[in-house]
Amino acid sequence: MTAHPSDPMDDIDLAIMDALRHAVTLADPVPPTLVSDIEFSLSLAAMNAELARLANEPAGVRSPVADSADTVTFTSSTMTLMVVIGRDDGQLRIDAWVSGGGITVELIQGADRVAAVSDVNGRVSWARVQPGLARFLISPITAGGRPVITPAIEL
Amino acid sequence: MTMPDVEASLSTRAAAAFADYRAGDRQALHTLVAAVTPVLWHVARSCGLSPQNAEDTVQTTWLRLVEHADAIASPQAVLGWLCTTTKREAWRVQRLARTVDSVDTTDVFDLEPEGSTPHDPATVAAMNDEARRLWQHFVTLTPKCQQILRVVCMGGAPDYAGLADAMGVPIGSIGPTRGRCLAALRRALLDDPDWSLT
Repeated sequence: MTAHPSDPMDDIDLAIMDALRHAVTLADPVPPTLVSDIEFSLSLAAMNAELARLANEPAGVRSPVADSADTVTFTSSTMTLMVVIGRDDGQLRIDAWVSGGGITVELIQGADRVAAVSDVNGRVSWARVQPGLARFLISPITAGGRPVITPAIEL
Repeated sequence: MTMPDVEASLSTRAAAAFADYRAGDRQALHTLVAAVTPVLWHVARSCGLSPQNAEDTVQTTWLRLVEHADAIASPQAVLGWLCTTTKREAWRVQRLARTVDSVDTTDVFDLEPEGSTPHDPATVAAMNDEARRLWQHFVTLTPKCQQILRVVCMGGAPDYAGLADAMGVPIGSIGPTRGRCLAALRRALLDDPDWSLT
């Protein structure tokens, strides 16, 4: 059967292209976290946020990392956030300490965001937290400052 | 908010989402990212980037879109703009990796990809017979044809010409006509007694 390049595409061509899309998608799949990583980058860019890093981790960690440790400390140029993951009656309880009182900290899990304000000791807490990946967003500590977002950790 | 037909072409859905985004609907950006990222992944990989570099490149492309959203001529141009930007960024990453190149005025679209399409051999081995046989013929095409076809096939038929154009091949090379690369793949498949369309 002839198949001239200048002929219009026919049903066989369309079927081959469909089959090729199927094969290409299997052979070299899009990484499952790529879309969420992009959306995270875009949200950082939109709010001009500083990305905190895990204390004791080398600088320049490529992508948000998961860590199942029970105590995690994040640092940025302006603040430190220590997070303690506890269990309370079979559910997760998160206590965190930030550098100062009256600072809004959001616990972000997917599309869910729960804000809390630190007390005079810098403490914020969340009860009945679902397991899974989570980030913390810390409002600017000084007027005109940048918000800080942490990499994701596994709760 | 514009509600495109669920069966609308990728370029139409991308244009609608981008128009909504420029009108202030931030959720539309998520729609656009989810719809177009798979194509951009294959653009970056078809340029020979490693998985990590391809991920970084696609992320960079989206950041550039947000930076330059107002400079894009029309919403209909956004799919082509994203593909072209990904390809240029992939080219820049590869130039950095090589570092030895001096002044090079080669246009990005004239660069020949090196070798065959990146893929995971274990995944290919686990494909069903039809897909594996198709893949085996696909990787015997010229690197340039593999590059064009793997990106163009990610859209639907109405997107073929636009994606081919974004990949730097003249309009008409694939969609509505068959084009040289698809003709070569079709001949190889139809000559293979063990291959059939199901």
